[in-house]
Amino acid sequence: MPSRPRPKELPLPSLMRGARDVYRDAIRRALANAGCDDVPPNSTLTLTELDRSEPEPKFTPQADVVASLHLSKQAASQLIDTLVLRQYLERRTDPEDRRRMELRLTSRGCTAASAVQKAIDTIDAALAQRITADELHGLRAGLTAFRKLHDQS
Amino acid sequence: MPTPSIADTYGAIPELMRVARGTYKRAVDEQLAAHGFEDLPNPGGYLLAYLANNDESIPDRIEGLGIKKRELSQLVDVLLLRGFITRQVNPKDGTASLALTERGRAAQQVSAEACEHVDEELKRRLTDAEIAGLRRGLAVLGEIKQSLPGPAIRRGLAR
Repeated sequence: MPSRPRPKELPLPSLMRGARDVYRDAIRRALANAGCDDVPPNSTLTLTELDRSEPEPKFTPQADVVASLHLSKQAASQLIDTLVLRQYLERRTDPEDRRRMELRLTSRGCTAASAVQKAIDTIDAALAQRITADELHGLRAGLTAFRKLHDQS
Repeated sequence: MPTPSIADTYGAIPELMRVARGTYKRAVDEQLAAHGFEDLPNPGGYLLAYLANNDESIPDRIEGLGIKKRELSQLVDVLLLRGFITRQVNPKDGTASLALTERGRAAQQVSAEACEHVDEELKRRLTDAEIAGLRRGLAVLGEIKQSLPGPAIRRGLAR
């Protein structure tokens, strides 16, 4: 059986594996430093998408938060319960439609969201320093293409 | 009107990476299961690929994937037990060498073909320059990861 030719460069799956978790590790460290190390890992990015305006963040429909978690409804609901229980989110009934729930960041949630965003910005800045704008465009385009492949399969 | 670039719709990199990294895994897992190799442990496929390519720097490659020595040792044991590789110890210096079995070679080929299928789909959707940028960006993220101190808390404890 003929053996496959040795690749001249690392295959993409190896590059993906090598790069994975760079943001996760930075986010975990930032959360720990902010005293928020009990944020469930699969909710960190969602926290940054919620309103953080002062003095009172605005409420977001719970359905929108569920959608942003990319989990099953049941798993997302449990995750939101955990975030409420751990005082990162405040939940209330929508005053205009009592069938719907709304969520917003608590003060602790704002602290965690800011820590997560700062960690992401730090990695983004380190990346931007080391690659060109065209390469950054290619990275984003490639990852977006992966997501579309993932969604279609 | 020109078709907008795929990059015009992108989101934040960490969010994109979370979804993207599962694309190869899903494609490989499906094909391995279809060919009776569902017992190939993750990330055993990488080690099989390095062995198939007679890679001279397997320890460095494995370390670059974020796999620790202890985890590699356990991975090798499982691959041995499940008949994907063999291990021979040199009686003169005690060094061990690994080789693919016929089963290991077949699983590696199935895995490689699944990855090639994803690569081809990607090439269909991206320009050469975008693929070069993707490769460069991932390589640099890997370098940044290596330069950071270890995670502040262990996996799973934050749940």
